[in-house]
Amino acid sequence: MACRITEYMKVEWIAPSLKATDKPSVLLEFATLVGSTRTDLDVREIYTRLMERELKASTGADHGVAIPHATLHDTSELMVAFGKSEVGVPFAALDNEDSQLFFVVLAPAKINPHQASYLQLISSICRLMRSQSLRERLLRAQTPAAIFEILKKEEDLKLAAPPTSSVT
Amino acid sequence: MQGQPISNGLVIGRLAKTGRTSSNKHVPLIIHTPDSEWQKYHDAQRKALQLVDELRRDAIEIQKSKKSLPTQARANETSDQELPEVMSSYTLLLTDEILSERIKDLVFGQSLDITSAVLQAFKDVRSVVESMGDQHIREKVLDLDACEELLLSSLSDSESLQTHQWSHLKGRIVVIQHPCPNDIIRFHQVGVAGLVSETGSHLSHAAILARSFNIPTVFGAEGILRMSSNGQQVILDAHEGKITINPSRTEQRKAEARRAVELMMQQKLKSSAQSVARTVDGQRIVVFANANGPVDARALKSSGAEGIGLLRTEFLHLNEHPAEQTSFIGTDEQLKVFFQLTAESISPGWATLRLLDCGGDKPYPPNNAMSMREKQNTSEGVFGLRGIRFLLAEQKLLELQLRALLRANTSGNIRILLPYITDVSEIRRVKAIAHSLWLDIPEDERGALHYPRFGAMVETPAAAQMLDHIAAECDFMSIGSNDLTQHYLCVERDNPNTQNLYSSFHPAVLRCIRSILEQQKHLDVSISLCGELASDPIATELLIGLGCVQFSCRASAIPLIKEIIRKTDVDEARRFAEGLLRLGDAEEIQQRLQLRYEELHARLLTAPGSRIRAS
Repeated sequence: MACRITEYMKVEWIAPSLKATDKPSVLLEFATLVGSTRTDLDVREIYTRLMERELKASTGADHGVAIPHATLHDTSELMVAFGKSEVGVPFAALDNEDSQLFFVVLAPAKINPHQASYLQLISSICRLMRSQSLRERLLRAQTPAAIFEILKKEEDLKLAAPPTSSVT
Repeated sequence: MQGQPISNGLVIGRLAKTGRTSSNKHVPLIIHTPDSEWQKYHDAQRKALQLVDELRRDAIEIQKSKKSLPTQARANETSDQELPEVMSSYTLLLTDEILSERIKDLVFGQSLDITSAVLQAFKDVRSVVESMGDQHIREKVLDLDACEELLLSSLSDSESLQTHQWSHLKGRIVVIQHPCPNDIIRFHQVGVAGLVSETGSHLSHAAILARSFNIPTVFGAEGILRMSSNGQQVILDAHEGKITINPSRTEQRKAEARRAVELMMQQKLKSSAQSVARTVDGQRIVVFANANGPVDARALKSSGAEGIGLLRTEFLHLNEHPAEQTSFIGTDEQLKVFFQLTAESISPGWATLRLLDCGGDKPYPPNNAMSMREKQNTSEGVFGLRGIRFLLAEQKLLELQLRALLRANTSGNIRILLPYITDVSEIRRVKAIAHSLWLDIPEDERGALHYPRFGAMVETPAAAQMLDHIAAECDFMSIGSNDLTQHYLCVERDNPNTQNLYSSFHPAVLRCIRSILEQQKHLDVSISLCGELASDPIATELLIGLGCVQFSCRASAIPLIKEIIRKTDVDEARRFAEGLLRLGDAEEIQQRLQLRYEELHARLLTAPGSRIRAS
């Protein structure tokens, strides 16, 4: 099942210019970004869960993309935040390149049958980010709204096209 | 690779080398006239001064944006006032007559081209300064370097100081040969992640700047430029002064875990700083802030300070740049306004203002008999006419301060602290003078004022021994651990030959502090502890064990000190302190404290939800 990541994103969870320059501070910046918009979430809990996952194995993928993710007990919602770093962050990625584009996926520990699972979401992100042109457009975008638009348009396009294969 | 830790922090990032390269290469001009060369010098000097002025303005802007407090403009030109100061010492150097005379001589007398003349003149001045041998003076060599570079780059029209050329350093761990203060400001502006330098010292302007900007910094990493290349991954551990180039995956993961712990700690401390600190068994411990200059009350309160435990008033009277008479606050009206603003801003907490403490190893204010004598090189030594002794000798100055303090106490929270007390008669005299000044204040004005409280610094062996008599004359006391250490161990802080003997963890000092704190109960005065020891997190549990219930520390240390208090059990701390005091050796005590602190540090993080451990 293909799912739309923009369905789980909010413009206020988009950071067009991350300040952090290393992995732990990137994760803290995201935890603060998402946690401070919600009363039911604890910044430190988000941060700890993300960091814990990261210490097991890096979520840095190819082409300067990283997808830090974690499950949370306090929420029943799937959430996706996005941020980019101008200078790049050493993220121990597969290809050893610094990561510039970050999708942070936070998922409820209890699976909600009405929502996509976070693994589906991550694979959607991976597929989407294979496009070099999309990566470049995202890197050029300046504002949260512009970034959101770019992602949404890309998804509209992809989903309008006939489905190539189905992912389970 | 190892260097000297300058400013705290751990960062993981990519390395970028930068530095002065162009200024050292130059080809002497063949055709030049002394007049045209001299003109070039004037132009370059003007350009350099302009640049310094810009940098100074930038620095002030940065400060303003750091603390955007609309009211009390004066009280807010605060803590990192070092910044503009650095710049004014450049201005002084650049306009120095001896320097320009020397350059003129070289240009007109020896027909040197201006670049050679500047290089030669700076070389001359530098060799004179270096031969003086004093560490503080040698720091000035760094200013000389910076000014030389400014002049040379202005001469060659080089754009090396333009910000756009620095932008590639953003987010990088920057490696340089030599730290220049103006470079540090640029590094801060572009947002470098960390800084490593081959040379530089802990006391330099550059180090002060790096600390005030919170840039994780290590100096003295000799050979790093040779051993590293651009773009390499680096772990910079500025706590330990350790630099790891091209770390393994395991090293990187460990560093990330430690960094995560550090971030979590900061986050946690920030959120709990403002609540009061009680030990595990419910003992309330008060934490005040120390201040050296005008106070930013909002910043102090947000760091968790419950008042000012020690405001050193020296800065109001000492003028480090005699050329700028403006920084001298002279009239008692000005002093009064300053004290009043300070006290009101920190109310209802105490504003503890210490009378001018100079003499001994501290400089005298200008324009008095002692500073004249000092100029004639009749050195006073450590045990000179210091603190209260000086004030009683220069009674006009004492009266000026007292009158201002008495008239400033509208909010009723001013406490006057008397420095360097060795005899109870000194306190009585000051109190008598204060009382007669009080009666001189017109009655209608007095009606709106509160009579301040008086307290004594306990920083001499005599005061420590005569505590009962001193307490009888005081409302409160403050232990000055720095001077107490100096006087108990007969060691001068600034003497390089004995510096290694100076340790506040010496059992003699600790036993003395214990005996002072033990008397607190019978004497019915509150005793706080100020000085470096109070701000040192490894000492907190020990001090509580010795009976300390009031700390006065550096504002930046308060959140951590409070958190340690919350993890401390008074009975356990007492047993721990007793065990330590049985040891005979400062170094051993310090090592045990360090170990204990590391354990505690791990415990500080065991809150629900935190499972990350620094391995």
